[in-house]
Amino acid sequence: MVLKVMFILVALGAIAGAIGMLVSPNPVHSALFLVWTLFCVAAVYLLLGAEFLAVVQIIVYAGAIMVLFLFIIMLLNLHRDEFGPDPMPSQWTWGMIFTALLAIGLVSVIGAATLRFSGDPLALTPLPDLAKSLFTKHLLAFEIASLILLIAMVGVVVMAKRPKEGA
Amino acid sequence: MEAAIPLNWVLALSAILFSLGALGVLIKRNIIVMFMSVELMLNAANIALVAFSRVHGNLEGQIVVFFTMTLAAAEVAIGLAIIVALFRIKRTIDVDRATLLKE
Repeated sequence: MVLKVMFILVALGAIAGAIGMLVSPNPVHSALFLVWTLFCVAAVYLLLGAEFLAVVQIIVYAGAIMVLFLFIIMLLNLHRDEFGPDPMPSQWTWGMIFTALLAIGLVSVIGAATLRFSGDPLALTPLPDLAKSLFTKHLLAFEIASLILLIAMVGVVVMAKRPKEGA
Repeated sequence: MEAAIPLNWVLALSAILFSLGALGVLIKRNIIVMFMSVELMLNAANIALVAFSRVHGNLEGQIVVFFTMTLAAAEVAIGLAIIVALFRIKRTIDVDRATLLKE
């Protein structure tokens, strides 16, 4: 019962943060709302027993990635008045309609699910098992992920560099 | 014994967050907020992966989520560099004004 109540609170928090991100006109506020939602998602991971992913979620997403977002927003120094009158006011209407259809479709499919959680609901993921699987069975994927991060780092430096004068 | 959270609830949360992310991509004109909405959709998919990992009692889903987070970090770094490059050319982050191919 406690788990269910906690899940409902965290889920409502996550949804409220996502809505706040969409309706706030200021990109900095949107980013902070998203940080809140990501914290709530970390709490959902914790409730599902994935404590390692919850910690990684907070460090990588709420920490590193969102700081990068805020850094870029402040670097570009954007103002609200940069956006003129909306050229497509019907964008909101159609966006709402299609999203409602998507949500109804997904939720109706989920309603048909018959799988259930089994075992002790309070059990946490055994971290040594996760590490063993990551470094033996998925070693190649792990190395490729590190290569992708290296490529991303080089790519960012190349793209963000100012072009040479006269070049 | 503590009652487990129903799987349907977790998947419903995932679906709602995914839909809200899709809504953000559709209605926003600020490319940075659109990008944040894409991150929200990634997180929604991650919740579903963790839930199914738990249901099937193995760790594969959690490992996929781990790699998704790694790739999301790389994706955000590259995406924000593209946004900075776009801003340098057009002096705007309004996606409706990023029409280099049309002109």
